[in-house]
Amino acid sequence: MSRLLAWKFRVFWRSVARRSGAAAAANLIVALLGILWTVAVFLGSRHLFARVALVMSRVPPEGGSTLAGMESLLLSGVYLLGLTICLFTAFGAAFVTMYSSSDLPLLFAAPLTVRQVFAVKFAEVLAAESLWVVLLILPATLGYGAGVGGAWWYYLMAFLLALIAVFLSGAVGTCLNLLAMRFIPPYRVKELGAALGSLLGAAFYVLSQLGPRYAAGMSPSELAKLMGRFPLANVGYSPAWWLAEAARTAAHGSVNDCLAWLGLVAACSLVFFMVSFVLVQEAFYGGWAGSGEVRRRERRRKAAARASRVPRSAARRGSPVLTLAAKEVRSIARDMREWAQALYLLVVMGMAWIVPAIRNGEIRFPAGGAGSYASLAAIYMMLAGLATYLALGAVGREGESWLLLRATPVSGQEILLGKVLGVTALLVIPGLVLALGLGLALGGGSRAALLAGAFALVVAPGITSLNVGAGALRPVFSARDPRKRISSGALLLSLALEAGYAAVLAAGVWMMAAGSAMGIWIRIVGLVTVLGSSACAAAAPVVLVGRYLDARESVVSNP
Amino acid sequence: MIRTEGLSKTFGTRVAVEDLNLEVEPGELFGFLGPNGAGKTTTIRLLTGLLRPTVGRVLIGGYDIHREPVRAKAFLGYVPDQPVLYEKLTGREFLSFMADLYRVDGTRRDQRIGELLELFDLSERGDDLIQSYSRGMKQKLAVAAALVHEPRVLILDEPTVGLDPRSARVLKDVLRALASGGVTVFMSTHVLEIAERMCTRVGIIDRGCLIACGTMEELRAQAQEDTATLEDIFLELTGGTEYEEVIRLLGEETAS
Repeated sequence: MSRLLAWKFRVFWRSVARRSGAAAAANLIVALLGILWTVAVFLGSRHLFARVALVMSRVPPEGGSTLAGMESLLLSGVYLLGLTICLFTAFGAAFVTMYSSSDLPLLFAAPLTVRQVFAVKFAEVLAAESLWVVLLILPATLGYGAGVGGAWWYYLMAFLLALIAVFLSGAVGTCLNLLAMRFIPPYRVKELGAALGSLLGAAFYVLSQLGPRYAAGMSPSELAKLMGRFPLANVGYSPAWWLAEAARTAAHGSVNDCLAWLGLVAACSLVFFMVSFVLVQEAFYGGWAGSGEVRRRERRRKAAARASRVPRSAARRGSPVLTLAAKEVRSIARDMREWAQALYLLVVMGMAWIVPAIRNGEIRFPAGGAGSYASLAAIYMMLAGLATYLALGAVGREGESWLLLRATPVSGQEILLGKVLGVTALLVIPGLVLALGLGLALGGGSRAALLAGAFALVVAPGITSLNVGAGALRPVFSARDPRKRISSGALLLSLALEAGYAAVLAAGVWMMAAGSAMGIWIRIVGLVTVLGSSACAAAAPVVLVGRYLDARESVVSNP
Repeated sequence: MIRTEGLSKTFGTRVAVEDLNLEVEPGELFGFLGPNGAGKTTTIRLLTGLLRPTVGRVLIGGYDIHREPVRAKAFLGYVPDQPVLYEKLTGREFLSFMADLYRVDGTRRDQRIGELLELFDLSERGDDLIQSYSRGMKQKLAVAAALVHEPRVLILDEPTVGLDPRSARVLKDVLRALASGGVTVFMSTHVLEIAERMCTRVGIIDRGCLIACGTMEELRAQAQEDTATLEDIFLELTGGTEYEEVIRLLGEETAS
């Protein structure tokens, strides 16, 4: 087993070290940035806790217990953040190394016991998440010690604490895989991983955008109060709290208390580790299919039996266009990556609107006419952003299936129309939600909300069609990841078309709003401009690109 | 039912198919053979209208597939060489989807889907996502999808690859039954035993040219060997017999 571990390390080292040119330079830059980050965390932590110590030294003894709680809360918040990141990393690493790893058949065929293979894989999980301990937990703990003036042995305890934190996250993350195996079919593991990654990214993005805005200028006591709002940072059963208490008691010279708290975390880790070792490795050996697949199949059969009881018209015939639209809706709606990515996009766009509107800790959007224009612009940008993601790659998403589709008696226009209808149906839902929400939030009342909703309904087909058309001109069928089946040329074209459509719409909306001063006719011209341009934007790409598709060969890769 | 007239296809300077003249009648089971890179898949893509010929034309059921693609393709059922299907649909939904694209209606529609799932041993997994299927199951579903609209012409590119012995046998029986019912079956395969046993006529393509075409008797007569198998004829025509001496020497070396 030790040889296997040595080989694993050698393979990892070669993947990092034996790179040439730009890749080696990039590795070096990443390593330097990592060191700088670690130093910054250490200095930041030392500065924060030195300030806390200063505040504590100036208050009377009767206020000391409150301030001691504040110190633990801050430290607990840091550990909560670190452990959460480590846990997600360990969970993902266990996914990859224990269930999706291509070397499993090789290792199981070798003269090794399941336990040995499992131990090696567990070590890989620990190695993957230990990076975050080095980047966050360890420098923060060392910085705390330096800030409050811990004794020399405090630093030894800090390393022990970091080691236990790695072990705890690894064991819990591996255990969570057992649960995941029960509910997630093997063929959806990567999909779920990608979706979770996107959601986590969205959460961190919100944190990175809103955190500094709200936390800037906060005193240590205000920060501690903020930490107190997170239940896992201030309760006695939280490992983050135990680690914080271990660090605090060590820094204040109580070695016995420190060891007691660390022992509690270690015992907890050991329980999870034992559960992993006993339960997970069995499931790991039996394979994903062996653990939860039987139950899932039973559930699916029951669902199918329920579906078959629903009376259906025996003589129905679906239109190819509607069938294609339904297929598009199903394909997107059943893919968790699409949902997560769309949510990520919404979060990023939402932040782009919210962050500039934050003043003195409050969100203040423009009101009145400016607010109405802003809400229409927000709806358009949100729809355009989602369409860039969902509609631009609609043809490329077909991949190799494109050949099968083109061998059927369905024209290019029908295919594009089906895709436009399907994606529009999906775009309209968030569009309407945002429109109604913004209409009400900006104080325009139900009339403004209805107008915004109508605007979303009018522009969604046009935006979708422009994107589907642009994407169909040069799809990238060969990309393994469906989300990467968009060529840069198609992206630029779609952005240009969207900008042009937005300009025409803006002119139309301006004429409609200016109508009271300039007569009824200008208002009618504005309405015709909005409706006419939307109809053109929806129809023209389908007709023109549909003909182009019929006129050219259906290939998915260069022969 | 399938007719090609002077069909040629070039990619840049490379000639993939050259002057292919072929006619396959209703009820025929035509085997299309050739070494790797000979032009089989390109020919099939020309027949299904996926590629445009550089010269010549393809008629399916009397319609030029490039001038009247929708009418011509309505006759066709196509099984591609890679069973890449819509992963997020269930097997049953996929068959229903294909039935809609071919504008299938009538009371037999749902019954037909049920029968095909049953025939290819997929009914138990018919309501699972295709994503969860093995390669063989996907291949079976691709074949079932090509049959859902009861096509008059069936074009299959390597249909037995990935199938288990039972499904391969079912497929062979289905193809025979379809041919005897008047369906034109055009099948490319590397399994020469299947072609020899099943096909009424065989065409062999090499470097883009049709170098032999006919019944087994006609091919034997062309090769001037009365007892030759299709494998012998294939190797004789496309090369490969020169390797036999090398293989014999290797065997002798290993034995000594």
